[in-house]
Amino acid sequence: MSTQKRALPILYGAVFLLAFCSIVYELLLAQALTAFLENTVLRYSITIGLYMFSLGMGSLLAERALSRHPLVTLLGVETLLTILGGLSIVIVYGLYALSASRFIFSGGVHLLIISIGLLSGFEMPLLMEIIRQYKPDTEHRILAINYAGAFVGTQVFAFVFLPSVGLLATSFTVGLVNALMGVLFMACGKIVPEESRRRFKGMIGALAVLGIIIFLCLCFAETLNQDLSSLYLNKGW
Amino acid sequence: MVSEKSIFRHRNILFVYFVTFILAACSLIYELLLAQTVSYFLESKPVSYSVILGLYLAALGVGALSASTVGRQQDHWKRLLKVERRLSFWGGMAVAVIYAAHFLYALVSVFVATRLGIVIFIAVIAALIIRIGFLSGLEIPLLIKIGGFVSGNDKVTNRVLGLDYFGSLAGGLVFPLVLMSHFDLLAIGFMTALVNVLIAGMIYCAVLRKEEGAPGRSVIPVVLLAAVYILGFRYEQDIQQFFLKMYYHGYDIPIALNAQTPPVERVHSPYQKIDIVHYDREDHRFESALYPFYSRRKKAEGFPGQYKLFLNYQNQLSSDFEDAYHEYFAHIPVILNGRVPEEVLVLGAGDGLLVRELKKYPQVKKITLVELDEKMIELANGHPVFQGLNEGALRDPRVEVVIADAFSYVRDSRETYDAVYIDFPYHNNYDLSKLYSVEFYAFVHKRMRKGAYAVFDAPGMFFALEERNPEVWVDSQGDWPVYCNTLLAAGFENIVPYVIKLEELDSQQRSMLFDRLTNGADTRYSREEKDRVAQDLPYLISSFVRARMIGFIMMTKEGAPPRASAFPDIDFNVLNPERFNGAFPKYNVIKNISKINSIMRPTLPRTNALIW
Repeated sequence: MSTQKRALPILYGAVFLLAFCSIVYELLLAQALTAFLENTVLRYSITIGLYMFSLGMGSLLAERALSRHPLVTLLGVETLLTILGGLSIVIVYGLYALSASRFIFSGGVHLLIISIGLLSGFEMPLLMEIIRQYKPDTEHRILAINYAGAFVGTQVFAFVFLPSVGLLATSFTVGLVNALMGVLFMACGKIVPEESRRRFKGMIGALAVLGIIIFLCLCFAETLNQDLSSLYLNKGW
Repeated sequence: MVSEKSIFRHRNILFVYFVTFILAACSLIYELLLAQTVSYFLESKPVSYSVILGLYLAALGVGALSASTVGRQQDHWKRLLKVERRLSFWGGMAVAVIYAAHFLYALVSVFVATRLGIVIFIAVIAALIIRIGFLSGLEIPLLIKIGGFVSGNDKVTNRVLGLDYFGSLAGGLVFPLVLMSHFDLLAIGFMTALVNVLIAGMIYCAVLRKEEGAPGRSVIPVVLLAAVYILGFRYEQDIQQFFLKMYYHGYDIPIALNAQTPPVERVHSPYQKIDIVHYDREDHRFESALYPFYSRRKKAEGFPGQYKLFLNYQNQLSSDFEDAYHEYFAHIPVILNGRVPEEVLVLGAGDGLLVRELKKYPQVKKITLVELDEKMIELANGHPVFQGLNEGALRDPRVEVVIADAFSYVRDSRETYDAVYIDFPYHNNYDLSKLYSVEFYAFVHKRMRKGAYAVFDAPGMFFALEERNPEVWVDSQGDWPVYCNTLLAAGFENIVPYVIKLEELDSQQRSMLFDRLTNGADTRYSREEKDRVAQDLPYLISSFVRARMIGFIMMTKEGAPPRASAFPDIDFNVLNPERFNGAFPKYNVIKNISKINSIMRPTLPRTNALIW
């Protein structure tokens, strides 16, 4: 019983933080792509639309991904999100610098949006599944916390991240939050069945390493930013 | 062999998915509609947009949290029906409520206090957003619960969530791409609310009719509401005209209701709402009497009356006073640099007025105009008011019009030019901020030949006027530090701000103005009124002069530009050597890299700017 009392607030916290991260990634990519592709109105709609679509696909596919324990799957999702999301801006600039034509770049970037959307779409159903093991009938509460996380995400993005942190440092920060999820989930280790324990611990280890790498990136964000900018300004197709 | 029961079940669950999809789309459209409508009235777009979207999301959360999960399947259907009924009322009326709230704000701020007006406006808007968000938030938990009943399967939650996302996607695409570019906000609200009514009707017919029997009295308001919306949609043009006239004529109800008042011409484009408003000359009596002291423009037979152009409710142009702006914009850089450019790139300025000035130079060989909105070019070439103003400038054989995003154009083009003129709307959102970013200016820098210059109108710069010495300063409280640091970072060596500074009138001119104002043929002033006009005159003149202090920034790649060469042999309306000499304010350059405006970290619009 005491583990349940400890785990539930942590899981609700996870719902909040993951919703926060998800919407910030969405806004981040939409803003970053305005630098690369024309027609802002269309760009924003397509980015956000594609993101929504992959979120939907993610939550539909999530039920198929439940062959393993949901917590283990969730940690896998977090690992991938930390890489793709935390480094999303670096990936976008890298793609721009490396790709030989507009079409390759555009394809790559949209693939990135879809991947991050799909991964984020997995999160809610998985969390619902995990929380159900502690307490049934909490869907509406989880949904509400999800909205609250999204709410805080939009505000923090508009008032703090965009004007004073900048896109690159924001992507690292949010990636770091994703990695920290791993540490948070250590408290729920008890519900993982014996045969998946090793995998579970391995995932947490991987997330810890990724977290350190992203933290280092964050420390050098200002220098990296200048390098990426000059890369962008000197490129021509 | 599929049993009849499972087919029934299958059909029912499809109905639940369908309802989820449609309602999610409607919910997102309401959200965007509210944000769009309110942000027209607020000063700082990113702030208002994100606050409104955030408030809506929070209300969704509260709605989801307070959805009741007890009861049978039918109870949930009934709850959903109730939600739809309410939502169709508030959603459909939302735009009208916001317009009315702004009217209330205008009334209260004129007759009581501006502050109170603002509080009332915000309170009404917030209540509306929370109400609609709350109702929308109730929907998904109810549908999840119903889905669980219908299918008897726990996994249905994910599918309902998935369809919720797909519906949001549909709404998010349809709103900007289809609805905004074809309909007015009011009509969009009516249409969406009608969909809500339809869903309510479908729920009733498909699920609840058997249980409840004939519809009770509760159906009457719904049918009435639907009728109102259909009628509203039918007469949407007239309703919209009423609101537009109210808005553009300062909420003067007699003017708005008067059939003699010329209608506001509205053009929808995928990028903006273009409004052309015709004012009576009497509305600008003072300005019209004063302006001839500054401008020598002769108003010939075909000259259009007092028109104003608004883009997304922002004033871009007044037909009577535009000559000062465009003369300062086009000619001062030419005079400063001492030579006329041969090939010119013009970004924005689809109205053709800047091109009208540039083509006065026979030395200009080619003008490339890059405009995003094709509708603006159509107006410039086809609308009598614009044709009268721009004198067919865009049809000149030296002018080439390119329909493109200016940012992509300067990034991807390989051409170079002798001069780049940049005329964009005020950077009140992050979309437009990109056109004032270090990335953009770095690309402009690349498009410039040796010895070329670039110039843009720089909104948001404040100019300090000192009483004792008539020097003008660029005040660092405004956007000047941002522009200055951004341009330096983009590689420009020389940055010259300049400003339209019209002089105050001397006493002789003032008495002439006084005579013109009071000796009109059609108006008689009492002695008292005359005294008041005479007393207010210096103040009115100086606020007119201040209102026209629009700033520009000219920049060159290298070296110091020669100051003031010979004045060109062009018949100017406003510009003359004295005014030219007074156009250069003093300024400070304080290097601060945190002020640089970039796409990666936009510092424009400054979010700490006042909301109003």
